[in-house]
Amino acid sequence: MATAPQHLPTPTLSLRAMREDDLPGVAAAERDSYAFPWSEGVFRDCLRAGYICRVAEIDHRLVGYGILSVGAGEAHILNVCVRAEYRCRGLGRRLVTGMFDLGRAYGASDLFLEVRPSNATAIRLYQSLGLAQVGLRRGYYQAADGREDAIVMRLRLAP
Amino acid sequence: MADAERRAAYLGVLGIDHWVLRRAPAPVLAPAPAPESPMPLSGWAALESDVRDCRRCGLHQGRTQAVFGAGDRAADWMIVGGAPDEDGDRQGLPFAGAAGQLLDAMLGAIGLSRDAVFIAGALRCRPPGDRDVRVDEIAQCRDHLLQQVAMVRPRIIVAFGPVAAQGLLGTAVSRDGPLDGLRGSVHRFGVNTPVVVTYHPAALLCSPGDKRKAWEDLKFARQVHAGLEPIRG
Repeated sequence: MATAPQHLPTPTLSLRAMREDDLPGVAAAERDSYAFPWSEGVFRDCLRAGYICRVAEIDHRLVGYGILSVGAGEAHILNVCVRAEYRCRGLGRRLVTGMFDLGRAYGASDLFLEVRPSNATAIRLYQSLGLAQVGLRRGYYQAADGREDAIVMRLRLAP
Repeated sequence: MADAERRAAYLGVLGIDHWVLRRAPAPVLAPAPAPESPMPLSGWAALESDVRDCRRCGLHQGRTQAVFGAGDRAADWMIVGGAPDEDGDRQGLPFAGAAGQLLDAMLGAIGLSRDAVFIAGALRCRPPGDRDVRVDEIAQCRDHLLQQVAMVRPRIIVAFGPVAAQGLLGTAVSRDGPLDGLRGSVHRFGVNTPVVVTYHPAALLCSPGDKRKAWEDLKFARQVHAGLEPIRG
């Protein structure tokens, strides 16, 4: 006979500033998620360069992260990632819209990002959030068979 | 007794298997984080003030002023040199002396000018008596270089000379040693900004025979800038 259902605590997703001691976990999640991951040193440089670096957590467990650069009225999402075991639950959507809010708070009127044409899930998410393709960067990404283009997408942040 | 527990008890009495979801319920999302208040100073003003007052290494003791860098803050090309010399320290500008005139000519050869690029140094303060800079001084100054690159967002960085190469690549480069191992390939700085290494103009003034090799490097840099190399890993 089974036991009664447990009353699980309700998980909530929160975004907080990334710290140096987050870097090993962030870099491990990056390695699990990408064929050509950023190194831990690149993430460390992101912190030191003053980019807006956030980790997404549920109950203090790392769920994902995002890196945003803002300058001259433009925000660029440099990296956004949800760990594999937390995907398909709307967390990426919340993480990305959290990055939009940060871009607005830092005065950006437009937001840009690059995405691989092969990443159909990400492209669908971005389109559903109002991003539209504005360009293509040829040979932007490394790929197993050479280079892959990048789709450049844009969102108007300011009304 | 809660409804769920009572239901489970009844089902048990009736001999019916009680199924429980194995997976935790989908998380309830926290409300979007409250917007943060932007930095009190705009990015550039904050960085300039930070550099002006910097005391991270001992070089601040002997400087007339820190040399921040100059040029187009939205440039495609970023030029990185070594430490300020006497002229730079006095004028507050990078590449202020005779080497600067040669730099202008080198930039002109690939259709650029000082106004069209952003010029910075691996170091922002002049070492006393223009002595060799130390590795720890280069490392201390690297964050300011990272921050400048983050704000300019150049498509390419050209490192002029071994101190610039060391500041950008983090690899030990002997001041008088050959740059040949670093020339002709694309290195990366920060979030994968491409870096091309060539000779410092001051070195070319001493060894004019290397000018032809520097010209090869600049043509290579122009190719990288034209998008023939990927930017992100």
